[in-house]
Amino acid sequence: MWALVRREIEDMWVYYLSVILFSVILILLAVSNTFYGERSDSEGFKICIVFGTTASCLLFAAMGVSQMYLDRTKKISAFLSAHTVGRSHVYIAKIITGFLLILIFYAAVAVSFLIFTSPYNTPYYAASQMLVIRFLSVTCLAGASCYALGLSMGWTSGKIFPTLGTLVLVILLLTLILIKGISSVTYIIFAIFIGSTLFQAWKIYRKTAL
Amino acid sequence: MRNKNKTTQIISTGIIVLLFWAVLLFWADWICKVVLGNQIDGYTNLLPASLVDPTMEEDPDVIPPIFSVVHRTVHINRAALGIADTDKYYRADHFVSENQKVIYFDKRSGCILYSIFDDVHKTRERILFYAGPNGYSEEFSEAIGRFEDPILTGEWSQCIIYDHKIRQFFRIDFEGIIPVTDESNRITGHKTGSIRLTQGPSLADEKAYYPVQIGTLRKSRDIEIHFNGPQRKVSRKEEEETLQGGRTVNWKEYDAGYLEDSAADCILVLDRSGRIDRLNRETLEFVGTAGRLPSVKGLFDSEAEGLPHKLSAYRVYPISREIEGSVGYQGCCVASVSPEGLGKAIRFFDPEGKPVEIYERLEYYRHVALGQSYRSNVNKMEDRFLTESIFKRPGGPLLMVIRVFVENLQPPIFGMVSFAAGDVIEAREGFRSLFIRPNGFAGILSRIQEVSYLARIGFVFLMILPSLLLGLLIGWRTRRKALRLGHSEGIGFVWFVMGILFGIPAWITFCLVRSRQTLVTCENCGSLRRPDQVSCHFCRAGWNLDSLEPPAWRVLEPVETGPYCDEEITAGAVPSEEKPSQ
Repeated sequence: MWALVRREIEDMWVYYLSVILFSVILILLAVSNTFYGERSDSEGFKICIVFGTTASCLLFAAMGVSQMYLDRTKKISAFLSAHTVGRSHVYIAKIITGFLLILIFYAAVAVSFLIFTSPYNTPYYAASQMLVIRFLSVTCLAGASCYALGLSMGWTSGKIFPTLGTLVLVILLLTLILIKGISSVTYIIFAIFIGSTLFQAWKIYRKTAL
Repeated sequence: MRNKNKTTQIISTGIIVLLFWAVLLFWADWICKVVLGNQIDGYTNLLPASLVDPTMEEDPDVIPPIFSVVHRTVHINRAALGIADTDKYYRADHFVSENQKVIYFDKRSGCILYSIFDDVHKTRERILFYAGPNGYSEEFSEAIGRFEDPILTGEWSQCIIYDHKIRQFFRIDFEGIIPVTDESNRITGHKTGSIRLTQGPSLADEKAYYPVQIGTLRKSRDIEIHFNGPQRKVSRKEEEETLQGGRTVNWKEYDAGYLEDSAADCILVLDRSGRIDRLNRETLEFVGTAGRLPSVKGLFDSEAEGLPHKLSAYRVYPISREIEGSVGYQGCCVASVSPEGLGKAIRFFDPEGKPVEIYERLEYYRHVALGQSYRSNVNKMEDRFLTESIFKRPGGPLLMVIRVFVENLQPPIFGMVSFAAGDVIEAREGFRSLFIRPNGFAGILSRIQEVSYLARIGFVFLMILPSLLLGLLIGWRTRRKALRLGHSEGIGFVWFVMGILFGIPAWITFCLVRSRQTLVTCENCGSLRRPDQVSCHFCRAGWNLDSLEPPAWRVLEPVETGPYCDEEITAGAVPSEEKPSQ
């Protein structure tokens, strides 16, 4: 399994590199704002967080699409199935790779937030910090949903549908945060969506002839 | 197992389709509401009869006290998005804040904290006091107890708390806590005063009292009340005397004794039944009823009860008046907004909590210009709902038709559930409901109180009839298609029912999950049949056996030649003893 995951990471190196670069920038921004800058200059950091988390959802969806598209066009799973691994192994490796990327991104966001809010570690800010945690967890679930959507949309031979179709659906999906806000209902909807989409993608992936 | 997998796949696909469909319809409906809402802003200037004394009534130069009620529907539309409803995230009544001082409830310790910040960026917090239900201390101690679910109101000198779990009111008096400031007015320390904690009587009977809000009674900022005290027109001579920076002052305060948003020696407490009580600050006992949230009529004469969770917004605005050194409670103005945000009701209650007649001022200063009494410029106030305004606006009817059309595109089952259970959903949550929509037309029709329940069912049936017909059409087509694809009658029936209940999403789901295999022509009936089934699902004929007959020859062993072989066997030839007898 590790070999499969490593192979997937090698294939998706562009996405990993972008996320690592963004994470480094975010942490540096948080450090400079907290220890070297004025608090009033922190708008850049906040904007970076909001736009970064939104853009990251598109990135995760794109990665999902790329994984499936590459598999279909280069017949990777067909080739691997001739060996000891089955499609289920390949699919799990893909999911691990995707979720690892999401985890790296949100770990970096969390670290940068910890640095940024370190001077405000008093009971007075506990409610605000809890709100930030809830916002990040909702966007994390949204990112995972977008990735799962990308997986189920990427298994097509055409280029236009997985690109534009996924873009439209990802935007629609992200508006769910605008509609429902940061609430427990949003968590539930995203969780159900992730489960359904991953299952759906797996069914399509498994059923397709070698 | 295979059937179970297929069912799971259909359900998962259905969930995805349903979600995207609901989000699409939500935005279509939201755009219509924003266009409608941007055109409507309701301003009402009203005069409660009890606040107008005879001297004001007779003097044409005097404008009596006026409440301005502003009902902004555009705010409702913005708050329809959950992300913009900031009330949901912050419980404003948990904080009393001013510059570097703050009183708030700390969930971790379960105490009310009185803190000061040493710097303007509020990073260095110095907690002066921890106050719990059993006492207070300068350091956190379990002995002072914990508040479980408190709501609080107050100012610097006094803070009143109600705990939902303990079911008791508390008052904390902060006496003599004087912050020490430096030359630049920054707090550098404090002179310790004392804290006095008072416990009120326990509210054992949950049915009689269940406070949901204390102090400033408000839900969202969609409705705002402002108070303008009585004013008197100044004479020309006075006008010249009162020139302020070159600007003429035409109006002067007639009575400066009014205290806005104040209930004198009491605070107002909103009960979950919609009743507004007056609680004495000193004794922490209820001293009477101040009024109640009015029920309100909305679109199509639907009526919502005056209950906090059923109204999309409300505001209670008490007024007090200082006469000869003593402050007396004068009553309160209460405004409610209907669940869908289009109707409003305003009441004024006197100090005994009885409703008072209120008048609506027609034009600003008209009676003053004409030298008449203010009564010539007022009408009796009536409940107002903006239904008429909607239909009179340019494009209003068209937008309403579009909304009906959009609502009929959603699955009929949700229309039915919205009618039956829409009331369960909190009014503001209803703005952002994706599936069950209490503020959709079906939900609104369920709130019409003037007709019987059966008649309401009839109205809703007519409202969702187009979606039912669409569902019927989709169900019929889906079933036919399913049967053509070789599914059983039972599965066809299930798709038929799904089509009726879920409409277009059911059709999309069917198209996504249906079998993709290429059909072949049945040689018996000529219909397209599935190649993976034993018999044709139309005529039940099997496969044509003629074309599947095995060849007359067979290769039994590898072809070989050798010294022990009598005759050479070649591929394609049938050995003599193996030849089938004719």
